[in-house]
Amino acid sequence: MTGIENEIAEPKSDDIKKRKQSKAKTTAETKSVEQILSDVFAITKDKDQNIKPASISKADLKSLAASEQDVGLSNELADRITTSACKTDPELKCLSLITLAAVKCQHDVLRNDLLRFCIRLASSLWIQRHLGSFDLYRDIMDADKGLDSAPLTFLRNSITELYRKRIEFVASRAKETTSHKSDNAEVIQPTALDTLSKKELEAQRDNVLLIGALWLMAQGKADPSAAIEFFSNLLKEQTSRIQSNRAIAVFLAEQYANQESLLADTIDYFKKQFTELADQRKLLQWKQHAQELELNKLQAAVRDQHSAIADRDQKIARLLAETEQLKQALQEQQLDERATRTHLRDNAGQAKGKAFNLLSEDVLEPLKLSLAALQREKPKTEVAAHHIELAVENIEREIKWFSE
Amino acid sequence: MVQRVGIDFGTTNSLISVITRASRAKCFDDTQRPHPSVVRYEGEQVICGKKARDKLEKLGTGVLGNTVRGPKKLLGNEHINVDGRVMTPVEVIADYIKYLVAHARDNDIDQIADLTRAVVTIPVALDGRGRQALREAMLSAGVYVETFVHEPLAALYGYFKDQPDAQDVLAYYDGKMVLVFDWGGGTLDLTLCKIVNGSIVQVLNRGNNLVGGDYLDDAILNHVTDEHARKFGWSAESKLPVNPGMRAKLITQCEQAKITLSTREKTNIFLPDYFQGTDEEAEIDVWLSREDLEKFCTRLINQGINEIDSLLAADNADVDPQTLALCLATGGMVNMPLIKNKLTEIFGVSSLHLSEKGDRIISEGAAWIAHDNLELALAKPFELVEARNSLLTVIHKGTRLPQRGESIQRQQSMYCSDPRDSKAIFTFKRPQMVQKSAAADPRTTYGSLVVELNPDFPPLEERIQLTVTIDDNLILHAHAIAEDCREPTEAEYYDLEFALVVRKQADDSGEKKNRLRLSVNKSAPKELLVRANVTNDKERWDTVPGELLKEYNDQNIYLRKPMTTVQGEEYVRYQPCSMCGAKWMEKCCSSEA
Repeated sequence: MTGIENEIAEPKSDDIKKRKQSKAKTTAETKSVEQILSDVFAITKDKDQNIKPASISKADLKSLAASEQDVGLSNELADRITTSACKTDPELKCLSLITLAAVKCQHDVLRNDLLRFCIRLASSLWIQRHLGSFDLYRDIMDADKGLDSAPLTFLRNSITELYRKRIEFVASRAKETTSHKSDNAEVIQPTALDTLSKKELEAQRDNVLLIGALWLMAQGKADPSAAIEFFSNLLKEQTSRIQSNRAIAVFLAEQYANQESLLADTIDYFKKQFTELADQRKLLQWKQHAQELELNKLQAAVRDQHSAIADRDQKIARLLAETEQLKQALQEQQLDERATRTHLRDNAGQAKGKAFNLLSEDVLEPLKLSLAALQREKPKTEVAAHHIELAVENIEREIKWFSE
Repeated sequence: MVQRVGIDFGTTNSLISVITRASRAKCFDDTQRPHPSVVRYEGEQVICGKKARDKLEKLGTGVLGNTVRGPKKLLGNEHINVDGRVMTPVEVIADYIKYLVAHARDNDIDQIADLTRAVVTIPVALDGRGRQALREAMLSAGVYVETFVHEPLAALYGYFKDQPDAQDVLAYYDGKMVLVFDWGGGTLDLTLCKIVNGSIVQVLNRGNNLVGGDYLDDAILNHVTDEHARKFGWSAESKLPVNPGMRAKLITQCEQAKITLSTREKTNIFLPDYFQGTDEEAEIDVWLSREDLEKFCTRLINQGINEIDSLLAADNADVDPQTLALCLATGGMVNMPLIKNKLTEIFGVSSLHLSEKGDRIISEGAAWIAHDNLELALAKPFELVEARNSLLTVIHKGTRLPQRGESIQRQQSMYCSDPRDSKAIFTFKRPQMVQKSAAADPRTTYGSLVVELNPDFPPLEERIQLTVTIDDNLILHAHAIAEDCREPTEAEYYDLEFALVVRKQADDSGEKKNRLRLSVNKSAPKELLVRANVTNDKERWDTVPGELLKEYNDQNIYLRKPMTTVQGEEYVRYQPCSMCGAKWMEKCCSSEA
């Protein structure tokens, strides 16, 4: 919870309120800005000797916002206050209230001085104070290098990330401490800032974010509507667990009674925003519906294409199989033709061989012998006739074969 | 797809054949004749086939000067001397096969034949070393032998495939006996086969190398020259010398005359300038009648025909020739009218089939086997004789035999029932006939293997590991080693009998253990009978000799084994007579009393 809400939420009796207001009025009239700031963070103790947390009255805040002091705030003031502030306002509750007042300040010079003061003090109190920076926000935004178009988002992300690690570490250390409490008798006393609990750190983080956002707004780097979203998000985290509609109604009535027009503006803004978003949602739903129709149409087309492709694939496979079959048939035909050719050639060779054997062995030889038998003084006609007869017989036998 | 070829590597002729896609055989022959198995070396030149045969001046087979005729016959030799050139038979065969393959490749224009893989036929009698050498020679010539097939099986399968419907024919002959009668130029081979469940199973073989057709041609030549000498009154001294190269011509004429006399009653053999002389004295002019031919060839022909009787006789196959369903007669000799008549007389016209393609039927059969991718199986079980004459089947009949690069192995642990002589005797046998493996059926012995044992071991104690392997050359290797003595013994058997599995059917390998009846031929000269002394069952104490079991029982009183009646008798036979103390004899004092 931020300090602002604390102030708003806390119900106080009218008497106390009036007394405090009157007291603050008289003090603000007399105190300078420098004095107010010094007093807010000054160390005071209660009856139990415990350091009181820093607090700032509404009057002081009003006087800061309304102040027209020309004298600039020195950096030494911030440095001086740092020591006490780290004890009295470790969660930067008061500082965030002061920053808010500074933003409201009408006087340009004082506003700038107050903002610079707040940032310098915040830089000395936040978790990375050891870096010695005087403007933590400028350092963070310098790291942006213009890559992020939304400075608020970048700031939030950067700071949240830095705090996340620390918060996780503190949570784990807290667990260890409880488990080893008995073992570690000797404990080193840390500073107030070092001993911040998880919750305190979360509060500090939110306040650092708040101050940063206010600074960006004052610098004109943050769009007010983006800032509204940013602050509403911060507020959302502080929504109470059990919402009381009655309390809200009372609160609104109170605001009405106090004639606070700003809340009415805020509600109106959010209503408009809601209406716009509802319209946008309808538009988006309509668009989604149209796209779904388009998608269905396209899916149907894809299905058609798929089935067409499958048909074509089937056809291709069938054609390939047919081609393969034809190839095989062709190959077989070729082989058959080769076999037929071989046999035809074989038949021709057979005929040739038969003819050759007939002529060379069965005809020529007997004829030669017949001739030899006849070519002599006393021709051996019987021998010659026998061999010629054999030759003729052979020819006749083979002619029968050839004619077949 | 190219087809594996079949190679008939014969003693006289050789031929490569292939079966085409048209399911017809194509033979890579030389002008319609198979290639003569002749290799001639002229310097660096190697001449093979017909060209080499035409240059031959001498008769016979083997090394003839610079020529080798029938190189297959030389397969057992380590080295041969070819005209001063020391060669191995493998080299000569490789040269010849290279020629055959090159000739086939030249003639295979359409590249239908795979000439690198072949089914090769071998004679039944070719031994293991011969098969190994032949495979080596084939490999040297670039031919992988897919499987060896016996020539008669290839011839018979070739005959069946020549029939219009081979399967029907095969079914018709199922369960019947078939004889392949191959009477060629070199040898006469008889193979009795039986068709059993779609397989052509070899039953018995018989061969005669001394009655080949060449001997007949030689007899005709001698008759002709004797007639010529008689005509001119020549004596052995006054005989004129023969002109070089003329003897080969005359032998060709004799061969021709033999063929002519198949169809004619009479023929003339006329050859001028045969002798170194003048006028009619120098020329051969002899008339030869069929009667003459049959007269001087009768002895030779009868010798061949008698082989049929010997094969089918009661002490061999014990088959009546008339019951044979088919006699497939192949080879040149079977066309002689005398032989044809005799075969018809024995087998009858319906059973006798004279093959018209005698010179190529084996080669074609091998090609068909390659084409149909047929496998060989063991025709008869490979049996081991155990003690007390029971038979243990080591490899069952019908076991598929290994193809190229494969082998089959069986292991068997055995125990010796009588280790006293430190020897275990493994006797391997096979039934003589197919499907006849009962106790009384005759058996053929492959051989015996004697394994050294530790004699100090008790009976049935030392384990003997027997390993039987059949390699792709179809040689059976038996290896045995006793586990304690560890002295290995090996033996090789190559005369396994095969079956050509045409139609694959379930094996009936679950054969029972048979009892063997060892019969001693009392009419034959007296001889020692080898009695096996091994068993595969360690608890078979009934196989231990009686006297040894008695000795064992006396020494091991707590481990006593019961004695059978036979063992009791055996023990008693070695005891001296209780009355006279004499050794056992037929007419001892007790018997007289």
